[in-house]
Amino acid sequence: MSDTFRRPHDPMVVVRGLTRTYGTGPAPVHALRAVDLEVRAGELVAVVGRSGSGKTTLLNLVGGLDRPDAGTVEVDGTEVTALDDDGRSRLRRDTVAFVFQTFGLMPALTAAENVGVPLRLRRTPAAAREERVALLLDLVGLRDHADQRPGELSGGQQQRVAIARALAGSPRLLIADEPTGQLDAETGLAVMALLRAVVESEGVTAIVATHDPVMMSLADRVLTIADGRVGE
Amino acid sequence: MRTLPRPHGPSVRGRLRTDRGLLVLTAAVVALVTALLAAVGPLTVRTADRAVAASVRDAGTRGAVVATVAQPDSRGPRRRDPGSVERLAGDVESARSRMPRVLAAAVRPGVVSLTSKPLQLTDAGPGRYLRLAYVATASGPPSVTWVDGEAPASSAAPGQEAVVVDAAAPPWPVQVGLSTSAASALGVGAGDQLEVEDEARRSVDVRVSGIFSPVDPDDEAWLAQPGLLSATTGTTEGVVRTSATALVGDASLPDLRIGVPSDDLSEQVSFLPVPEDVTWRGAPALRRAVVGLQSGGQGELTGTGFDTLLDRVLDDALTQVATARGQAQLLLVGLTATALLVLVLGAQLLVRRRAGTLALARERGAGLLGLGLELAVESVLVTAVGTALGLGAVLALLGPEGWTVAPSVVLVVVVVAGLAAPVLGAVEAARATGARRVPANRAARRALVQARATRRLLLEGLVVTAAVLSLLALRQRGVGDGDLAVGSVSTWWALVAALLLVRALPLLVRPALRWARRTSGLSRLVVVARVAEAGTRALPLTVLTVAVAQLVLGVSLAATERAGQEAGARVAVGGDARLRASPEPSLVRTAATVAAAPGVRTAVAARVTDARLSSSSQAVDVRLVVVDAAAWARLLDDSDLPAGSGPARLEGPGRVRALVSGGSAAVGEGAQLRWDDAVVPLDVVGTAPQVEGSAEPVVVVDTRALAGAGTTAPPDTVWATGPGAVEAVRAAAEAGDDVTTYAGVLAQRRAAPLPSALVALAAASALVLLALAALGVVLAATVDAPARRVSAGRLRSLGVPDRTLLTMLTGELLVPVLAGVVAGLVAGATCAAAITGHLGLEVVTGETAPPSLVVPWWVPLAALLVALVVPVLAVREAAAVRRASLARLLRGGGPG
Repeated sequence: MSDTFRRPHDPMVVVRGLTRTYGTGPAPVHALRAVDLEVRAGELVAVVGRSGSGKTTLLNLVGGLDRPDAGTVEVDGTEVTALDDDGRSRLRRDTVAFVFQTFGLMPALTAAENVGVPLRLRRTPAAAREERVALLLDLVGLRDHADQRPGELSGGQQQRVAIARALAGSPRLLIADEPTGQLDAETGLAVMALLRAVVESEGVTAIVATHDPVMMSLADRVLTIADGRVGE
Repeated sequence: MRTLPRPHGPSVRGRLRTDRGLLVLTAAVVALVTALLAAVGPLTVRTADRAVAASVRDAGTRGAVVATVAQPDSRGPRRRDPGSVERLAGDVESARSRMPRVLAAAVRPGVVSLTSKPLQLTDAGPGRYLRLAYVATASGPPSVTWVDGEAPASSAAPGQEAVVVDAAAPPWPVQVGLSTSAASALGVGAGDQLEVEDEARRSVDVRVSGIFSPVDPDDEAWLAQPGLLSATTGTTEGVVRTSATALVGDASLPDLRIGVPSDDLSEQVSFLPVPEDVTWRGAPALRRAVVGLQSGGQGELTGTGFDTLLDRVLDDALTQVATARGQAQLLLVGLTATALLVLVLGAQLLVRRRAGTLALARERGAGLLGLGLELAVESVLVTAVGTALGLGAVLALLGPEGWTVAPSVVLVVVVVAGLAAPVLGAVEAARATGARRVPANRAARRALVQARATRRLLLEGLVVTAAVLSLLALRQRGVGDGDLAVGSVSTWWALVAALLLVRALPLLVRPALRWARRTSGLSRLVVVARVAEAGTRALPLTVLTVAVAQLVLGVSLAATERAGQEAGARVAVGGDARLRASPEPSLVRTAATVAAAPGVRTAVAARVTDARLSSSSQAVDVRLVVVDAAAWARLLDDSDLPAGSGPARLEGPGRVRALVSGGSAAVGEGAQLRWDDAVVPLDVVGTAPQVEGSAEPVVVVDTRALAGAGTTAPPDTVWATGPGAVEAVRAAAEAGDDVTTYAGVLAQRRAAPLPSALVALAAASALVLLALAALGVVLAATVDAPARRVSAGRLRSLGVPDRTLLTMLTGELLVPVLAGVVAGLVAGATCAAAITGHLGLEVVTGETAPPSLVVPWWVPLAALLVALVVPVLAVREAAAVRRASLARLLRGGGPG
């Protein structure tokens, strides 16, 4: 995490010439072609595009889950593409949080324990951790489900737990990859509203890949990605 | 009519290709277990044959079948028979022809002996006795070298070979030869004419023609009359008594017939069994033949009676083999059970990996029977290959006898290996598509849960009942050949331990989870939560617990047996070294010399001889030990030898005090020792320890106390202890003395067929069990690997460092393994403690009482070797997680 405080409207994410190609030989897939973009701090950006357009690749590269073939990604002043494995782990632990389409919860842990994972990674004292977990579960409306495991929760509830977990470590950047992809319309709407609300209340920057027009309407900005190129 | 669905070939081939690694592993397990079980049969027979042969060989003359031929009444005139040698040879053939064919085929050519009763030499006072004996094997009398004088010649003048001697005529002279030892002990030389008379004071004219030394002291002929080569000396009621035997030759045999009253002569034919011709399977028939021969009452009709201890020798050998086979069965049942559990675990993994495709096939309309058949085709193929490899290996290693396989045991393995995957696969497919209806009614749901719990309790109750019954069977019957109820006791015990572990582990995990929740770190919480979720599965825990328990039991039995052999060898020797010589008072000085040698802690002289103990209620043959009680007490203190009630009790005034096996209660009132001609009243003051591994009861008396009662027993034995004992005893030994060492006896016992085979089996089964346990850990880990990989990927996405991830994976895999190992260790050790006393180990170790259980200190370390698999698995899984694209892993999703 950068030591300097980043003011609103300063760029939180700066992407320059980002290129990612899958496969080699006669038919490589060019997921991203020299993409440039900036996302300002506190901004909620929706990334839209057809399936296979490169949305998830862009998010993975920004979050340090994948490495580009060319180009750079800077998050909160840190050049992600220059980090080694440990550095990228640190980035995911301290700066960036994810919300996945498939929720990505730990099935063996309860909802509260899942939310507390980022705090445990930072060795937050138990009392402070429990207080923060309770607050976040309240925020996502799942206080009564704190002791239930993901398998005992509905899809929407699981996604809300995932959002709470993503926020638990107070990340500077929240990356959500089609967070409503596996939810029904009503639940999806509730999740999106929640995302919008927490971005504002927690002051985080969010990049959300989505197909959903409602999400686009809630975003500060919509980036369209097609054939590996980004446009507004 | 419905026809059986045809298996879909491409599907079968596809599955074979996809899971070839696991299928090869399954075939390897089948091959290994089949080979092991198939090899056990022929190897057992081979070992049992060797053991029975060794027992017969070790029994020596005890195993001989001795025919006693009645002597003709020769009152009145006696005719010298020049054909006496041929007549004796005829008696040998006659005796052999009266034996059952099975016995006649198992014995060597007979050794015939014609022996007189002890005749007293009257020329130099009392105390010197001489027997006259003719001995001959099929090749004639034993070869000797005449060191003085010449071979005994005929006493008949030429042309008078068939002379008739009148009853009133003077004694007919009999020429004999004496061994150097006998001549020296009796104080006679070549050319001496001895004044000799029998118990009825009838005179016998004995002339010493020469002094000889044997060409081969181990010649079978000498065994029939050991007194021919060495004289014995003792003191009875203050009188020194020397006994020896004189050799009658072919030429003087007719003279023996007429020179000694016929009622003083005894003719015996001794047939030694050929050890290699006595097999384990043939021994029962041979034993029946021996018993029948002895009880047939032929003696009265034919004039030839048979006597032998061969039936007891065979009895003992068969008991030893049955006991050893029972012990081996214990190990093999455990090994087989573990292998079967591993095979089922492997099948479970196979089915788990195919759950998706099976469900898909079912959803597309495939019938359960069809799916089961497809899986069976592949399973049967794999099992057939494994079985063929296993049997082929046995055939290659053991030759044609490798076909003597116990088919039932191998069949069990083959059936389980062949059916596990199809059955589990069909069940999985049925579950995947069968709607599991959960009752909406709460009471109905509760009833469902209760029914499930009852079924589980019932199953557990059956296992516990089987364990209890098998333990009771063992305590009542002891181990026995082919007694599966007894042979499965340790397996049931281990299964009970596994059930307890499966019950207890969730209870133990719960508080651990509460504790982990209170901590601030992540690793402990994830590890305990994952263990609670996936680490308490019954089958992997059962595999590990049973394997480790059997491992502990096998190793403990082997260690106990080896410790028992050590104790038994020390008792058999009487110290670290033993010198056995002809009875000589000078051995007391020899003992003192040995005791003074460097490295010798104690040395004591003793007389160890056969005697008879009688009382108002019984009379028994005993092993008499006459020893300096104080010196012996020091030797017992210095060694691990059993001391009984303690030699200190032997000293005191009054009648001769004695320690007797079983104590005074075993003897009864009025105990009297009868040895040679002496009768010594005894005061039984305690229990005698076992001495030199004697099978007979032991009587121990103090040398001075016995001498005080007028009977002197010159020592024939020196026992010594200490690191220098062997060297000192060897240095003190003279020609003809016998030196026995603890190390030598121990090595001999360790090399004996049954103990060595049992130790080898225990070692081999321990290694196989370790391998199976490790394989169980790998299979169990592989079953859960996909879920673990997804969890690990999710944790990585949250920024968990690789090192922490490795710790979590190691912890998650290690906890159930450690739980299984600990449960197995406890189960194995307690089972060994509960059953060791009933396994008849003493029958194999040569002790009189069951040896104390020895659980080697390194057993837990050996068991923990299984846990070494875990770090390897964790590192591999962590590497796989690192290699996998995190993005793709997370996109793949999964539960939760």
